[in-house]
Amino acid sequence: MSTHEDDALLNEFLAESHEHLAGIEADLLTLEEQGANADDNLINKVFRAAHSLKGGSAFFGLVKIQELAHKTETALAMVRSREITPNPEVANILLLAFDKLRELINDPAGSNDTDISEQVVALTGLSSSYLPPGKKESLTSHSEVTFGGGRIALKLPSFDLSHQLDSGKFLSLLRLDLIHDVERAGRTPLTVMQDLMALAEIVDVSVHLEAVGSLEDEPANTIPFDIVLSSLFDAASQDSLAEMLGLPADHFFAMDEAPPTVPATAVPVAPSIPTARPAPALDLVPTAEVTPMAESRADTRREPAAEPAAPAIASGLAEATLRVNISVLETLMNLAGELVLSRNQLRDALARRDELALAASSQRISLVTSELQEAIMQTRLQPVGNLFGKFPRVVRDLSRTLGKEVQLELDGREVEMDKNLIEGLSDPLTHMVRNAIDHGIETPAERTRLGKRVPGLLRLRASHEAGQVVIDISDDGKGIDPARVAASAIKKGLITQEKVQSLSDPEKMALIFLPGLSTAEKVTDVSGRGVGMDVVKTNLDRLGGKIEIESQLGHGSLFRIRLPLTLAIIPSLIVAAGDERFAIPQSNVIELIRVPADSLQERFARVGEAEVLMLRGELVPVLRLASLILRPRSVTSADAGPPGLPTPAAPSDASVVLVSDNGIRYGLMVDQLHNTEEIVVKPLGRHLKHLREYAGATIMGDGKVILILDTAGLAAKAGLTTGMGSGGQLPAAGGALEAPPSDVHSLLTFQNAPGETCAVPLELVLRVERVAASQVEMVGGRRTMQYRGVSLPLVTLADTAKVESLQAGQDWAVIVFQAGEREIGLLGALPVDVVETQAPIDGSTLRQKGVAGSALIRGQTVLLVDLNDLVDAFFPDAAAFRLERTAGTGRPHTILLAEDSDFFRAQVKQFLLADGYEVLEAPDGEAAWELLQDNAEKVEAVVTDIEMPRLTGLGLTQRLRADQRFARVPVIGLTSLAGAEDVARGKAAGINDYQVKLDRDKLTAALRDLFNSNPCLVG
Amino acid sequence: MQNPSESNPDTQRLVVTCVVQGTRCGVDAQSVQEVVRVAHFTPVHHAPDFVLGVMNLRGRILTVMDLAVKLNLGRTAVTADSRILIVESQGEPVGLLIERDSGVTEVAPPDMRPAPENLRRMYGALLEGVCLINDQLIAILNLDALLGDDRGV
Repeated sequence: MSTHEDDALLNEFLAESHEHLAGIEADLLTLEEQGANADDNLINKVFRAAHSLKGGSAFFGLVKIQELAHKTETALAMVRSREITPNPEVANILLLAFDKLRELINDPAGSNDTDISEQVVALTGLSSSYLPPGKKESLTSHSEVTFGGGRIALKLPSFDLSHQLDSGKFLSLLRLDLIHDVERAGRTPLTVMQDLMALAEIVDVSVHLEAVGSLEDEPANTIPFDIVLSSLFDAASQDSLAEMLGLPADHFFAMDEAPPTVPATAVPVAPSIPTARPAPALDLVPTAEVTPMAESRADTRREPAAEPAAPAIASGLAEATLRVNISVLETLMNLAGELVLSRNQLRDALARRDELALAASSQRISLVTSELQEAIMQTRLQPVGNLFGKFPRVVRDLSRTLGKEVQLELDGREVEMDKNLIEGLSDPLTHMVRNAIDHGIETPAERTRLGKRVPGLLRLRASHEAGQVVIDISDDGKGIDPARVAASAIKKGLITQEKVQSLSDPEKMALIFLPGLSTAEKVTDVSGRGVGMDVVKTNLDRLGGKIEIESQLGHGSLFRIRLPLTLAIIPSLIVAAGDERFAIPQSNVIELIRVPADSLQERFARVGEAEVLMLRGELVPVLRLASLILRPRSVTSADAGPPGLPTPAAPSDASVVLVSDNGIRYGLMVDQLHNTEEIVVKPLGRHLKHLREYAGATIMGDGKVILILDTAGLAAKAGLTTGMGSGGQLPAAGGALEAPPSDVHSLLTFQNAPGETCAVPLELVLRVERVAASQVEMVGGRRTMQYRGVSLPLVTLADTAKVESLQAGQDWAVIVFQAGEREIGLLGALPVDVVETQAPIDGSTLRQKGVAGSALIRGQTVLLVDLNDLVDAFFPDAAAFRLERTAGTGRPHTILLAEDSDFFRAQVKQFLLADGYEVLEAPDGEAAWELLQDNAEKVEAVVTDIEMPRLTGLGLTQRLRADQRFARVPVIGLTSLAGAEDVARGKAAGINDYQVKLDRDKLTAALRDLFNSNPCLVG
Repeated sequence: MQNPSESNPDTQRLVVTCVVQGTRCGVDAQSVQEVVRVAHFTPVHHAPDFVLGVMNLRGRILTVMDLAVKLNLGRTAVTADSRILIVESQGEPVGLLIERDSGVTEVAPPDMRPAPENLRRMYGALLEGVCLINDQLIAILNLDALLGDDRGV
């Protein structure tokens, strides 16, 4: 390879080549579509691309590019002369050739060492299969040609030679001196060639570097540069050609007469073409088409089309630069000018201390700034079409490889997105399109059998929605079978059978995002390459995107990607909770509502802990920002008192921001409303990325950082969902992987042994006290302490469970809870803290006596203490406590408790038992119903969770109400924060009362009321 | 100044030393960008407990952590001596609150030694090793392990 004396020149060539290659793919696909009626202009365009590549690469000594470009050109020349019809086979070979060219151009330095034989063989085969038998050899042989009466002799590819001469052209040779004719004349070889190409076709180019000689060879300061031209100018009219090009006529040499049209003296040349390549077997993919190209077809097939256009995407060159519309650039220049002017005005005004002028220039600067900002943003925005553009090719290649027929529909190409997002989306989108074709759309035969349309439909659609970009990938294929996904996940050990049972269908489908899961029955070359949907999800996560799945078995699937415009500058509403400020993206804000203090009572209603706002006759769920976000202070000392949530402020006007995100609408009650500001969204560091409450952070005018709220994340945290079945809303794919969407629960955490964090439900805790180890007495083998004048029994987790013992020699925390009538203290080490978490509770892995389960909280595994077990183990007589209460009223009431979470069930059962009830438990509605059949006489009330597998709480209630025996049994629904709609639905189903999950006092009070006010129920 | 590099153990390395709850710690100077005074930082509720908040460092928002909490040494009280060590971790700056800054020290390879067993048991991979400088023990922290994973378990 020759040295690249002039890097700038090479770069120019490479940039130009990129430009040439940019539209090729689409053009070839169009040609393929047009077939025999291919548009001449389009063919010429593609031809010119190959042609310029050939010319340029020859100059730079990029021999492989030259060779491949040349072969491509040869084939295209035959397309141009209508000798070859661009059918799919032909298009395939050409597409692959251009792919390779692109790959070579991206790595010019390594290109000469790249193996291009596969493409060359395919192209040669293509061309030769259309040539008459006698001419076939011309493709691989060279003929000797002489110019200027034998003065210059060259070897030219025989095919080119005969092709040119056959079409009535004349060949001539232009010998330029790179030093005198080009360099000193202020030209570059590229401009010279461009000029030439306007008038003639360049057949071959060669530079004779060997003529340069060494430095000592004084006179030899010429570098001969030979260009073989094919034009309509014969030997006689050559001078006029020279004149038109502005080159000396004596540089031109006409070709000598009587060249051998068919190379009699053909020299077989095969630099890198293994012609005797064994034909590979054709058994890989069945084909329906018959083509005349026996030789090439094998190679077409062998080239795995599964990675179409991949080299094009991986282009490193494209990422570093950005094409900006000239008009945008002009705008930027103008604005920069404006800015300078405004600065001068400002200086002037300051110098004169002219208030009015100051105000004016401030206004001007703010105007210019916002325009500047907009213009700069524009430079970053690109139409999604740039991204979609590659999919016709991807889809075409894939469907051919897989023997499927797919029609691709692209919508919303004009939707603009930030450049970074477009680049980041490329891979995930490609993968999902691959999946849709590989796993989604059925084979034509299968579709015909099912009475479905052939070809199958694959649709990519981009749109803007509430400040987000939404990209849908939908197909009308076979859909995703939740059962199969789940089965596969179990088989691969990614999830347990038990967990799967509690998953809803959408949650099962979301399992495809688990690493290492592939639902394809066999790993195909196309999709099963070790990267799966988990990578897609990771990539999207990185972009701040979310993905949702909707699928109907047999009818197709929809993957919906939502991307926030996090890279943008967004208008936001600034609010405050306590004395902290937060930003809410304006795109999520519907309206601001101020409720005067005197009408708080009428406007707000409470359902359990859930608050709703009456808004124009509608009930809107309300969340309090302060209680949702602000974390209660850690309890680390005795005087800190019992832990609790911040109390609502004293009655004053209430400010509610009505927000909408992800299809959920709710009111966010804030302590203060500030102004609206344009903020620059900055990402949070990776240690904070996982917090769903925040979408990022921004820096305010005073230099302080404030956090941007993620309204969807807040809703999810508070347990607000749109409810399944309401249509349109898709389940988010996140969190659902490990457990059903879980409720927010408040836990009191404490240390057992160092590093061993434990937790108890906050609702069960009466008080937390700090004690010195010396205060703890051992009496009769049991720990007690003097507390408020009585002796408080003390337990530790280590007493029951196999955990480390509490370390002595420090102060302890005593967590006081109620067991029946009695108070019991649980000893733990400091610090004690309160966390609110939605982390799913794993009731199996670490389950043991005394430990109800575990949860991952703030990155730490926390053991959930089963107070029941502790009490049972140490105070076997505790059961007697429980029964004390009911002793007076005869036999205890029996309550049927249906709850799918083992943890919650155990907790609720514990405080029901403590209150003296007898409890029958069921892990779902169906089991509850069965239990009822056996205990029809006994059960006096039902406490049920709403969301449960098999049969929901609503379903259970409906069954009860429809049955004579149970129609009057009171039902209490246990719920996390529920929307007004849910409450209404529950009431309609026959639920008597709603209680917030794990609010012990309220639930027991409600039950007590129930039995007291309905004496008839007490059998 | 020599360029200390892990691949070349023969060269001396520079270590930024600091005090964390009375314990002398050191961080490879290569990963320390600067040491700044404690400025305003915004608390981030629901963040892991070692996170104090986020602060604005010349237009970049960085997470500030209490190094003491990370090392299980309790919490650092902010005083006039407190500083924030800005370190580069996986391409992003992170602020570490320290009790006080105690300058830059050269550590020669012979001074470095593996952490004693009891220290290693407590801190595991968080310690790269210890070294004795002027009869003072300095625990050299392994920032990657300390700040490595996303939620900093």
